[in-house]
Amino acid sequence: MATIWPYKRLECLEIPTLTFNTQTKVEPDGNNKVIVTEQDPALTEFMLSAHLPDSVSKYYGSHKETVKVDYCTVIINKETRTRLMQKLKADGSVLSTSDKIKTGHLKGLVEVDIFAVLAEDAASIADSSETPSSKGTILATWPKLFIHLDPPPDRTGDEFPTRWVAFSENENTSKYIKAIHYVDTDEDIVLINDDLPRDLKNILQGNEGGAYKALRDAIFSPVAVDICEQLARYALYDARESDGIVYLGGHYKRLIESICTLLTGIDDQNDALEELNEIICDLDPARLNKIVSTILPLACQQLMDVSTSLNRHAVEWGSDR
Amino acid sequence: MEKIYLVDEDLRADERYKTVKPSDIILEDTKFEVDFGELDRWENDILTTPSFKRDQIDSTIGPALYSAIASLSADVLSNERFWQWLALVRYRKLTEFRLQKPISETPRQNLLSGKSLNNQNRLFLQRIYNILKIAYPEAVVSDKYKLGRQLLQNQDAITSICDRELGLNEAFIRKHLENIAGLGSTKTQQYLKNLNAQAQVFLPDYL
Repeated sequence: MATIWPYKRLECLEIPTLTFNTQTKVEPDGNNKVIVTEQDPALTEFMLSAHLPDSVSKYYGSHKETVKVDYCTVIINKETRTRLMQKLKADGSVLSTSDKIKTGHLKGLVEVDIFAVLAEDAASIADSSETPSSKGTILATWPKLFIHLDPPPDRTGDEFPTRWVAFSENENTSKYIKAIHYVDTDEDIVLINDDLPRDLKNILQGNEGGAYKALRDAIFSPVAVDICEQLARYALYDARESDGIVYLGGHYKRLIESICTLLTGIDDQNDALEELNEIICDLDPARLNKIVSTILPLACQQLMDVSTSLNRHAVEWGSDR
Repeated sequence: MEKIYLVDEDLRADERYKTVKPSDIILEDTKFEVDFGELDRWENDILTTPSFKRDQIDSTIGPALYSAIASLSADVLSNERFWQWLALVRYRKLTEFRLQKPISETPRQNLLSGKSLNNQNRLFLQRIYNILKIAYPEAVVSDKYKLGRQLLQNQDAITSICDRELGLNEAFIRKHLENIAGLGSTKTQQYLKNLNAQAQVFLPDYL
């Protein structure tokens, strides 16, 4: 759920750039994620740069010469409980680090944020309700970057193996032969119906690219959303039985952690988890039922970004025709 | 002085931690050595005094634990397998006493630590270290651990601070520790929620 800030807060959309030392080999995903594939941890270091749009550099308009704005990068590594803040230098429309940032003892996933911050109290502009005057106010943000210093863990869904099974011959599914999939939470496996009509099965099991792949992925997108919803529902009820989210294991815990902000409407993950835990542990069946029946389906669609994914398949399908 | 070890096997696999004997756990020598003498003395006192409650145990052993391990490298202290060794091998009796149930009935996050902020805070020895590290950076203690003991008796303070990303901004959170130390459960959580809300609007380094 998007936060409505009590002042003008800008969101820069252009993704910042990470540049590593030559000895460090990385695989960028073309978006905001970089996987380090080869490194000497003692040497690994990077520079960070970002585009500084006019809307940010001229945030204070006619006051811009008198109001000091700092640009900062904050580096967080949860695995080592490390947080570093460094000021960036602004040169025209480019922000960049003054010094190389060594990854040193950091491990696993490193998160990199950039903020524009009001550097000093600015009483002279206190008359404007939209522009903040208190020191430290975040004026603008950039997309967060992720550096995987080790290969990233498997995604949640990958821990659920998928198997093609004739539903007509399976004890749990024999009466549902027209269904496509079944999540077996006892065995932690997703079963796909091998009894599906031949043409549909050919597309789902095929290896063709282009329009066929787009169609195949488009069929599986809502299936993935549905699987996500079933797993989350199972996890929520399991947490209720076990007296709290903290007792959930592995993929169930991670799924609830990633969806809790969407389920509660609270932006901070820890606060959202606390709230969700209270709903579950206070045995408030009305609130829990409302979440499960109405919000969960929406949250899963949002989490899986189903419309973007389907649109991508639609574009692929269209361009291949 | 004695050697510090890491567990050198996956105790999560098939929930091995529940059944493996401490003497059978495979270990790796870190080449670091520390003095656990004081912590051992407190452990002995606790094990022979059944009336010790959980928060009392934490505030009693906290200073000795932190003093002993604070000088270890960040690499060791951020390694979940160091904490596994501490809980399941070196201080297993104390861990079982503190848990008040057998290892085999204990959820793994309470014993095996982990990579997430939450999981780094479920194992009581690591939780003690996490909060004292914020209270006493560079292990400089000027108040004979008065503040640290207060915090360790307020378990909600520890979890509310160390489970959150906000807790990584140690300089900022340190300014609030004295206020938090004396608060009750609900007020602690509310105080932290307010700080967290502040950190969404302001970069805490500037506050």
